[in-house]
Amino acid sequence: MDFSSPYNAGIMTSISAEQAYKVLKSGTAPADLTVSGVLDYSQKSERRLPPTFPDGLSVDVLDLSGQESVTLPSRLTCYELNLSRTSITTLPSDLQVTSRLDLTGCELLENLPSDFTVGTLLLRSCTSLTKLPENLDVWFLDLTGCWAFETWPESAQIRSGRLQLRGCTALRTLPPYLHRLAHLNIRDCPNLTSLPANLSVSGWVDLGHSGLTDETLLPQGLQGTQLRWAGINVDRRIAFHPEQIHVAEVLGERNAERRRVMLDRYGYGRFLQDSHAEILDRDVDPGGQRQLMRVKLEGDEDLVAMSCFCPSTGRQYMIRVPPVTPTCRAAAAWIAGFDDPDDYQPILET
Amino acid sequence: MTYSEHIDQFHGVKVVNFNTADDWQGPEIAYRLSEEYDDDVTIGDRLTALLQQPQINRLTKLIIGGWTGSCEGENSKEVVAALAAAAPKLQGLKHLFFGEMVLEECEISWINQSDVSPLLRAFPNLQSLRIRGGAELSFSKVRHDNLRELAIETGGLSRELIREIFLCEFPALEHLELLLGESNYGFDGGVEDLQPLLSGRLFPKLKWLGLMNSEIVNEIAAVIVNSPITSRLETLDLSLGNLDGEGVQSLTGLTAYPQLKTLNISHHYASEQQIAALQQILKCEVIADDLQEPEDDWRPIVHAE
Repeated sequence: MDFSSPYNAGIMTSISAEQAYKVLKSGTAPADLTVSGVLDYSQKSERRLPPTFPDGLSVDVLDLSGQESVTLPSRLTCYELNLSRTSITTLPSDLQVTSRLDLTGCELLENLPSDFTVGTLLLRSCTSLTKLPENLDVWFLDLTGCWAFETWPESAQIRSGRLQLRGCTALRTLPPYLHRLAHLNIRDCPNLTSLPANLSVSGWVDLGHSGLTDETLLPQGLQGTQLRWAGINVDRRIAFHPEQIHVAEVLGERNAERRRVMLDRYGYGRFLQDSHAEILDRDVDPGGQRQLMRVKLEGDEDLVAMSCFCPSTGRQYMIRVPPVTPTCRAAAAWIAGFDDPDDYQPILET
Repeated sequence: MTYSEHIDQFHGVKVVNFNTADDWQGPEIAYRLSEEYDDDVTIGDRLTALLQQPQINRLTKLIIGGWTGSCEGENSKEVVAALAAAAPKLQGLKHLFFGEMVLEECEISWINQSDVSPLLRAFPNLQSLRIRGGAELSFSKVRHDNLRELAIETGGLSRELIREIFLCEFPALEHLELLLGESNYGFDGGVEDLQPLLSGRLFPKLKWLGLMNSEIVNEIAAVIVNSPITSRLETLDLSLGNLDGEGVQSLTGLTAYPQLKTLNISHHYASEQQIAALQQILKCEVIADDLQEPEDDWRPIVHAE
């Protein structure tokens, strides 16, 4: 490989990705190699990983997504680094990523380096991650589906942008240093019951199925903030006072998404009772009587649900099924994952 | 508001189509070089003729219109190369509009561009560059010390292109206009892709920022009110997109930036009451023309296809 062109009077300028692939493949790439553009070593690219990456490598984008075994060099510098779906467990302490670090689906990832600064940090479904590093500095942080995550750093900057915590089921608190965000998603965080007192959010907060059910615990800085329930804009009454929703209001709602949220808040079981649903079928199973009920919804598919009792606890459940379901038997089979009710022959129900 | 007519003024002077030497009216006005459909004479030919004109080195304003095949997949690479090669004779050029095509010639998303950095390298005195069309457009890494204004008009700006622009060095840039477009026509990013810009790290002289024609303008509004860049802006332009009441509520946060002189949110889906409340709370001029029907579920932006 001739290095004369990328080097200019002894000062190294950047080489293109195409040139870099060749140099890296040969295993002779010099330290502090600077590459312009995208080095795509994603599993999807089917390009073979080089023997090593040189220390001090600087590249605009390095994509290693889906690679089983990844070893990062020291002093790696990127604008974007994609390590999603790799088996990486930890990152080098001197790693620098300017704009975006994607660690989505890194199920073995346990640690991030302390004092790490990046614009966007994607940690979706990093299910081994229990804590974040000290002095993390980030604008957009996505911890969706990190159900083991529970410990915030003592000190960090999470600011200006979006904090996604959907499905962080272990999470009980948010840190007091959260001051100003654009968007906050705490959907499906059942153990999160309050927000930091000094928090303000300039865009929306999604609190669907979170533990935040007491309106009086909303910080002052959220007075003008748009609330969302599972992605749909809702007002405070629907978010915090579902008992005030009326059947007629649900049936009269023109927007199908919004009506779905109202139904969700009202509760399917209560709604079918209160709306005098049509009974499509009745039978008896080991838990007791089952009923298949239907309510017609204008501009949307019918609401069809089966009420049944758990044979062991005696609790009543209301489970929504496809609108074409003809019988309780077919509903039970569909719930168990069978399309044909004749295929569903439970030996014992507990 | 769509690009249905050619501009007749460019940076304060009239625009004349240059086809032959007879069209030359001196270097004080702006000239447009373009090709008709199936034209025998190319932009390159017209450029050659233009370069023969007296005082051509004093020409400051040039517009490149449609090139043959521009709407059938032919990209701008040859035109870029021809213009860059002409640079020694056009050292006075300060303002360039590259790809000024109207709807009838080529929908904005059908215009195929190419790497335009050769133009920036060839014209170190260029002060403003406007590009129409984001398909195949790229900015290989370049530093330009005199570029004050950059405008990229697209129906869909890719994440990759946003990154390329942010990795260039434009230390003199004061005015940045990005028409981000929508996902059906190539916008594949999110507000997070704008973070390097919003953090204030890039373009130290920026004071006019347009994040326009965007289908995620509500999200941009929510982030921009928390962003260091905003404390340097005199003008913030969020027009041509689908801003609605939610975004307008976010923009009340602009009260924290008293230096802001103008906010443009024209073509929006907020109610008149919401706009009035915003105008009441903000001290700057709020331009909110072209109200769209707030009850509509379908909320298109201005330039897409």
